Amino acid sequence: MIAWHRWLLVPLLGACVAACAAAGSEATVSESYGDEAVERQLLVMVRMPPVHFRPDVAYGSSYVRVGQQARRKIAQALATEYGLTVIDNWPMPAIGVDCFVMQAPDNVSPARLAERLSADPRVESAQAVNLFRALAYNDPLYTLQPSATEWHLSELHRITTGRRVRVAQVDSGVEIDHPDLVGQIAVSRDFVGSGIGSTERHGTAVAGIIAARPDNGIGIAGIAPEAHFLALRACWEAAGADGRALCSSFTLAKALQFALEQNVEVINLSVGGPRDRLLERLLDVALSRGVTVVGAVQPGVSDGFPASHHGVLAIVTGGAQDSSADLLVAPGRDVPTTLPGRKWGLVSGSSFAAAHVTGLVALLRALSPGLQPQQLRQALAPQTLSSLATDQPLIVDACAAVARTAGTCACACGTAGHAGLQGW
Amino acid sequence: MPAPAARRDTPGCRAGKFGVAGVLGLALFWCAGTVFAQLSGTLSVLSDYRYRGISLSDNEPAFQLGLTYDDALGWYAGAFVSTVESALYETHGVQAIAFAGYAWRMTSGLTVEAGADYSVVTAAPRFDYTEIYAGFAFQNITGRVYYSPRYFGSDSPAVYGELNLAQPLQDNIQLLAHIGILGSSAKPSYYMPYPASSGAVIDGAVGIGMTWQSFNLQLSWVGVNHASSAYGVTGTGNRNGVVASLSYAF
Repeated sequence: MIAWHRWLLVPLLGACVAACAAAGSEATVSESYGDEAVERQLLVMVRMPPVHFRPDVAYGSSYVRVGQQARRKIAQALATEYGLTVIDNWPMPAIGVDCFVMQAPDNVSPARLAERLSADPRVESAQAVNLFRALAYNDPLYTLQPSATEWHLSELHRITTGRRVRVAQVDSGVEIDHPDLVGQIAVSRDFVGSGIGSTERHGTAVAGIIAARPDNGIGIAGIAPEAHFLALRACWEAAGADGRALCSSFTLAKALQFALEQNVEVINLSVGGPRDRLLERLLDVALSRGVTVVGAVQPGVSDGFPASHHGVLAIVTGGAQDSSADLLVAPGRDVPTTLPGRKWGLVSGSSFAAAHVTGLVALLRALSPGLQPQQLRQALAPQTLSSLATDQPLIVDACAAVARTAGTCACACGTAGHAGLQGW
Repeated sequence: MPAPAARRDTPGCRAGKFGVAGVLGLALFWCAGTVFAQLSGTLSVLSDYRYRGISLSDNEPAFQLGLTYDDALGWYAGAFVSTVESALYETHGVQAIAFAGYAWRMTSGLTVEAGADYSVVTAAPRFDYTEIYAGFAFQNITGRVYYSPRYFGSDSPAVYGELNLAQPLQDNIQLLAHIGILGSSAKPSYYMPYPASSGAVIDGAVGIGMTWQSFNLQLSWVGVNHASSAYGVTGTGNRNGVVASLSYAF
């Protein structure tokens, strides 16, 4: 082959680079995350083969991308056959599927369609998209009620600050340039994709409790301020939901897949909704890899998901009516924290109780990286015969938990064993 | 330059071997039999075809086609064809590789695999070979070890090990890195057109990959520490250089 071919090839490839770059910058992201739109969506999982030898994918090229077109063709064929519209997709190699979001027509139930699709051999699994809600009270006066008892945080920080523990918050958008959060957020990603209003109240409040910069003369001190903190936006504030944050199965799944890719050690899920097979599978992978998952319990809904999922630490606020020795109680009322607009305020709800436990787990894992799930659970609040007999939620005692894990006195040493009797 | 003595295999015999491999692969497609199965492929143009660091296109552009079948259980098979240039034979032709194997993704995220491949280089009739391999993939890293009893027609066995990294920098941009080591005791042949060493050959690559829809564009620096008698098929071109490629995935 003569040399001019090479010189023809170089400008050709260069032109392709420019075209790709220009096209990439103009690409629009699907904005199909309105409540009504989400309720008519379903998730169709197409199997993703494991990575293997391919001579055409040499020198480390992306194995995820190769084969994606084949799966898209399968998805498009399914959509045509079942009268659906393909909206979006997201590879989830952690569970070996490519997840396609499809919109159902108005006259067909997404749940029924999901059942039919599940029986199709081209489909690995299918389900309707569920909606989840961030678990916070939105009563304006509720935040004026008496504040919670502290966790002796400054004393805990003498022993551990959660240094380098990788913590993922899967929530609504975080104001990353908030004065109390500047420099605290290592990774920020948006899995909702709308790009609108990505600074949101719930996510910013949860992030402040976990990671706010201490000792800076303003605001609050986060529980695990030296954690490697990932703010993953999977929820959005919906106008039609009293300003509450909503999330869908798909956005949550994308964020969980990313968290797994990032090797996080703790995941905070301050959201609640119905059982969701796709999310269950991703959580099972996370738990099998030793990730601690902290979930907020929806008040009065003891079987709410994901808090009720086996292996997830289920957190309630003090005074909650929930009755189960599997639940953990943490401060969740009148909690001062960061809010959008460079503000601070008081928030209440099990979301924020879960954020407390997430921060505490980061402290414990910094002290003992190899902490096993059962050891962690026992450190947070030991289950005893008497506690099991009463079947009441156990109060998390931060000082005792740190003392148990560090093997040394954490707070006022004489009281470590009794702090758990305090209420929030 | 005198052509090396022909091996026992005739071109018809080689084609037969490759055909058998292809038929076995296709049989695997049908035997596996579920409609979970996926057929995918790539069509590529490259400024230089570097095979384990060695240019098989004499530093000239090459065109490639790859097809892979994956069944629902983890079995896979496929075929790959690339244009090649042989300075030794002063001719051009194709390298064709048939491959098949089994990959298993574990809950931990680790994938392990084992398989075999068979390569034919029509431009250089001596250099077809069979290889077996085992490997792993974890997150953005893949690694594999290959063993061939007569690598590129050599009378000595060869072992090749490689590690690859594809680290996402942004959604559609990846940092690519590769390191490979070939160990072979092949002796230099009289007809080799350049001084060659029989020591380990280390090849490396560093580059950027960019994906847009079905297209993948890569720009990499690829190099090798020295020419080797294990690669008698190669020419006298540059050992190190920049390689650009554009692939269409389907």
